[in-house]
Amino acid sequence: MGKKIERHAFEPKIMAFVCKWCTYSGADLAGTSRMDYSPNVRMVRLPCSGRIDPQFMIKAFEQGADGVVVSGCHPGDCHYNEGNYYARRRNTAFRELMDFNGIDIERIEFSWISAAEAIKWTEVIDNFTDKVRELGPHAQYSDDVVDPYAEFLVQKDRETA
Amino acid sequence: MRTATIQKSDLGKAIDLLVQADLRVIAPRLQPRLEEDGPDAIDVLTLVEVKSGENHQVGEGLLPLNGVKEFLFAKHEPLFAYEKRGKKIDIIPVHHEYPRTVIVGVRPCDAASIASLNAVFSDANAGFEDPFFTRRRERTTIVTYSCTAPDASCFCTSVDLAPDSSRGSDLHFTEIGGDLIHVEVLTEAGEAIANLLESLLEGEGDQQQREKAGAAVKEKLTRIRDAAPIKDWLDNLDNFDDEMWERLGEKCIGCGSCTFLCPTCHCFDIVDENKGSKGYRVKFWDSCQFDHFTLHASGHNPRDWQYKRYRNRFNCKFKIYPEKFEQQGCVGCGRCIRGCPVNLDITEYMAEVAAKAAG
Amino acid sequence: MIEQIRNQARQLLENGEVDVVIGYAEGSDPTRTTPVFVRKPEDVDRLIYDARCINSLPLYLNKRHEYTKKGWKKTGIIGKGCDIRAITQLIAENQLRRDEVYILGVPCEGVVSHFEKWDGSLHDGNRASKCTDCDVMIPLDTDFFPGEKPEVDRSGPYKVTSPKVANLMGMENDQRFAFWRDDFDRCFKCYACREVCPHCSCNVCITDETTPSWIDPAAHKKGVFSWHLTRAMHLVGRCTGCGECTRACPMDIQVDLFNQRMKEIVQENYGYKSGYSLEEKHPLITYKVDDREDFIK
Repeated sequence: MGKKIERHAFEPKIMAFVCKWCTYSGADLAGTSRMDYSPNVRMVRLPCSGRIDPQFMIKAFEQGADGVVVSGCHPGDCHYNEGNYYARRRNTAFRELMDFNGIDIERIEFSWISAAEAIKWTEVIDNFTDKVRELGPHAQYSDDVVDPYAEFLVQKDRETA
Repeated sequence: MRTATIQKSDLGKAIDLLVQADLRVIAPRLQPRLEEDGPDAIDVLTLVEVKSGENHQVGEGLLPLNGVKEFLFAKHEPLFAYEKRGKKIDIIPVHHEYPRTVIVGVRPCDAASIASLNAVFSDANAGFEDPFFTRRRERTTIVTYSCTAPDASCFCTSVDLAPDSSRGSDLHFTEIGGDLIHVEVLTEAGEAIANLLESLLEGEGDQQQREKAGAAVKEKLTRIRDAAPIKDWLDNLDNFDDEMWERLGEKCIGCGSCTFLCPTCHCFDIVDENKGSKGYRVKFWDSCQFDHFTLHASGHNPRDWQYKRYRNRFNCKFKIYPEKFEQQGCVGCGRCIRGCPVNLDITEYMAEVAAKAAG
Repeated sequence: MIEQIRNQARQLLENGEVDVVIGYAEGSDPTRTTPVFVRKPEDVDRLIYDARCINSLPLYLNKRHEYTKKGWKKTGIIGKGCDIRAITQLIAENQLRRDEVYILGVPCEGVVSHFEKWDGSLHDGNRASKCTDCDVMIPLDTDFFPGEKPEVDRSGPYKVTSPKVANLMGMENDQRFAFWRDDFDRCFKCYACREVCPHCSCNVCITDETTPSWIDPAAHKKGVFSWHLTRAMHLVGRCTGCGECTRACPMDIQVDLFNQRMKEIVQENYGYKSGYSLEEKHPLITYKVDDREDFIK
């Protein structure tokens, strides 16, 4: 295996909220199987995709994430029987909401990845990272949104008298 | 100081001159409702920074939604930044800019409110000074513009102001008929602005005409209340539990619109906006109408019902302010009446109190 | 019509069937009306109803507010069709019991969008957009209704009535973002949109939470975006479309456009209209196995 390491001018920050039973285990399998995947992703493990509050995604963008991944068990596979079905409805609504605000929903990825699908996990993350890298930094959540007071830290020379 | 006149059609040029003089110019601007947006949209008049004299609305419309308050007492601003390193906390100073600003087209009620804010934020007697406010205030010049068409919610004459009063202003404009505006220079800061506009100013203003124009507008005000007996009535603590407070205030929903719109309301809150081990300590507007404004850590809330919160607001305007700061708390702009979703009307309280005081 | 309502209200108060009747009265100037709490039979003549009666009164039934602590066992409330939908939604969400309210329905012909626009009559220029295509002008669930209640077909889907929603959806993403960014610039976070909402029921709003602080309380872009997205998200499928959030906004930001758009989405995907049924489950607390998942990899 072993992919060729490429260097890019822009490395996106990807935030992944994943279910502990399927996707996290899938990612774990990818790791123990020595598979390569993009190191841009930072994972947060949650009990179920139904636990993923849209607030988390808003917060992720606020903290400077360029893309957000939400992932859980396939329909019918949920450890709690139905959590992923709720997640599906909630995310349908949330994506449309972000879209109505004009926030680019290409930067939110939803996927079903089971504990056995280590390969799918690496593909989803690699493809999504490439896509976000192409989209560039999240211009809508630019510095003045992510860090509203950054400009106050800079001492300006031109003191207006 | 001196007086002059200026053509109304030259106001755009006047703004251009001020912009060219490297001043930050704030003026009213109208965002008209578009026909295609349907009937729910309405015209929005706000004070905003302008870069040229085109499309200005100085002297038009009535009151901008936001007053001058937000240009002196910011909606939110950082006090300092911090970073935690282990047990140590570094305080990192923040640098505010205070550009020289001129606010054009301020209505007299808004201008009068500045003195009230000033009393809170730079109280010489108490030895306290809010540096953000005072520095902004020092660098801001207020150009007022007498009202020509007060609406049904205006009640400035009830609180010792008038549609043409020049309290709190540096340079005062009054329309005196035709295309002519009477200009009064009231302070040195006003003089500096007048000097910049020298090429547009002409001759001397006719004080009599100005008085006449002001008096004519004053007659259009329909909402007139007697504010004189209010303070004494409120001073009588028996009246603190009067039945009127609950009767009038029970419909209040505590939305806080009135306090945020009010040009003299000045309450703020301070929080730490944290991100990892770094963050800012931030000051931002707060409102006495919120239920958690007076909520104690124990869970006890001394103002546990909404009408008590509104009672506090009324007391603040007509008792606490005059007592503590020797300033008027209400300038009669009527924003709280226009903005209230449930039509809770401060002048109804005023009328009720006046009636009760009269027996 | 209003005479019949007043008579009924008087009777209810005289018989002690209700403790209070919440209705509308003349406001402090001729263009305005105000909510009023009538407790004595002799005060019922204050009640009025016309196109200026904009307020959504079910707000006063929401447990979050103090009114419910007044010990009213049964509340009479005057409701337009859309307000009664809000009551139905409150009952469906267990915020209220049906036997706690006595609904006096009024036949409605639409209301003005803002008090400022009232010029003596209701016309296309000032009628609130929610009132076009309204199927509850003859209200749905009432305890008293003046006159006959004809059968109305209410099976049609929810339709967005504000043309602004379609205008925004016709724009490019970035234009839409710019529109909201500019409008939200005026927001100073007074939370009037929350306080007038009959469906905001949390005792402590997530924006007031400090440990942890999910939404920055300051009115910078971060705090404002986060607040408005969260508010709209929490109302998905629950909003009954009274439009009070837009009307109450002191800075005149049309925040209910979010709610309208979300209602359209809920209708398209789950065929659900809020406030019509007590049994039907709100779309985000239920699911179907074959729900839309075209966006999922």
